[in-house]
Amino acid sequence: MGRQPWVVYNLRRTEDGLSKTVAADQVLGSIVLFGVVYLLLFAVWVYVLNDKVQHGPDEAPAPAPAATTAGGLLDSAGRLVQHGGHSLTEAGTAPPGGRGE
Amino acid sequence: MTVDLNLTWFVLLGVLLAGYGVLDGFDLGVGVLHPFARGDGDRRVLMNSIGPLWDGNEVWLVVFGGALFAAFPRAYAAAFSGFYTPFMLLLCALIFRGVSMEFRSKRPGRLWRGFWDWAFAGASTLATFLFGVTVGDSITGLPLDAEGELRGAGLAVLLRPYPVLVGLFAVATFAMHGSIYLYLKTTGELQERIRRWMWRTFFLFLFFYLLTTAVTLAAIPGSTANFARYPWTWVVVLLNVLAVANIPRAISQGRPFYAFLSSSCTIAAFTFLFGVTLFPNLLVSSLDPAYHLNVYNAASSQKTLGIMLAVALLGMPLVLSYTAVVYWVFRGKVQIDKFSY
Repeated sequence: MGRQPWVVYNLRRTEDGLSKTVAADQVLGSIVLFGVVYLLLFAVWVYVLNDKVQHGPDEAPAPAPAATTAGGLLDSAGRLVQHGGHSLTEAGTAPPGGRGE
Repeated sequence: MTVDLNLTWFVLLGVLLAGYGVLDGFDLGVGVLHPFARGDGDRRVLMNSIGPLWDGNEVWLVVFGGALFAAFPRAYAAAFSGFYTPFMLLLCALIFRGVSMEFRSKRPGRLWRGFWDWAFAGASTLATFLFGVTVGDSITGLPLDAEGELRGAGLAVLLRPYPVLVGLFAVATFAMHGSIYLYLKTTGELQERIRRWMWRTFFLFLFFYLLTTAVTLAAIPGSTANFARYPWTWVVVLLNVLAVANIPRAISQGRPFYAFLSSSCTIAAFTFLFGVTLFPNLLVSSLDPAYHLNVYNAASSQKTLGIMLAVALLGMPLVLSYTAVVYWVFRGKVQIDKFSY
């Protein structure tokens, strides 16, 4: 922004770097599109965040004592996922999934 | 020993594209299938099956785009400027695909969850369709002029019958790939329903596979030229057919993981065949063969390609390692707990 009017300093001006095949209204359209999408997502984010703040945090489980070693970290992450050692190569004989909502 | 860096980077781009197709193929496939899951619990299971994985998978697309930019900037410039509006749509689709997974279960309420469910499904389907259309347009040829500019590539040009067919073929392929992945990740009654999805998507895929192959051979002149020039490529065609045939075989033998491997190999083989059809071109001009952008006239300098190759060789083991770790940690059936999406 402080480097204008250069897009590549001392070698190429911004006006020379424009694409010849993209029309100005296409660029404006994409700016508007991204602006709308970002505003929408920002609004949604604020809404969800406010909802979390109002209701307070969920209870987190206490971290396992072995979580400070590399092996222990992977183990406690695996326990968190609770895969139960189901095999990926045999067809579904595994017990039903966990607490659904 | 002299290495043809341009050819090497064409091959590496193919590897990145194949990797993306195999990995995000099942993510997008799960999205395409999402409307067929009934009930809140099932839809959460579907989203959580790809929840920890989809972001790392999509990164392969980013690397492909970045590598295209750095290795073949003239082709990148022509394609991304010429396809400007469709690519902006693609970006929106990819944004909404990811965001809908994050937000969907954060609030209860049918309107909230229904909106994000449809955003997830619609975005995944649109992204897949656009990828297929891009492949189809690359094979057919586009109005690339003498300066390497893609003028007049409006939607009417981009959505000709053949690219639309390839787009639909991509949706069917990813839906099949995603359904096999879901079968591996689910249990119980949902898994039984997904078994039916697997068969239905397989036959849908088979229909489009045969149709697209026939139309390509009949309507695209020169598509088999490279196959005649390099006869060893017929081995891949044969392996592709065997992989496709193994999918129903593995499913009916009750070995879904091998079906998943076979559908992964199928997608990788399609990418390879796409590369062989294009080589040495990257963007084919429908105006004049002299205007084709190929791996030699669209490339960066040899020094750039060399440095890029060194960085890629250093980076790939890292990428493969962390990918393996993430897939290992989240192996097994989907379990919904308080940390789930």
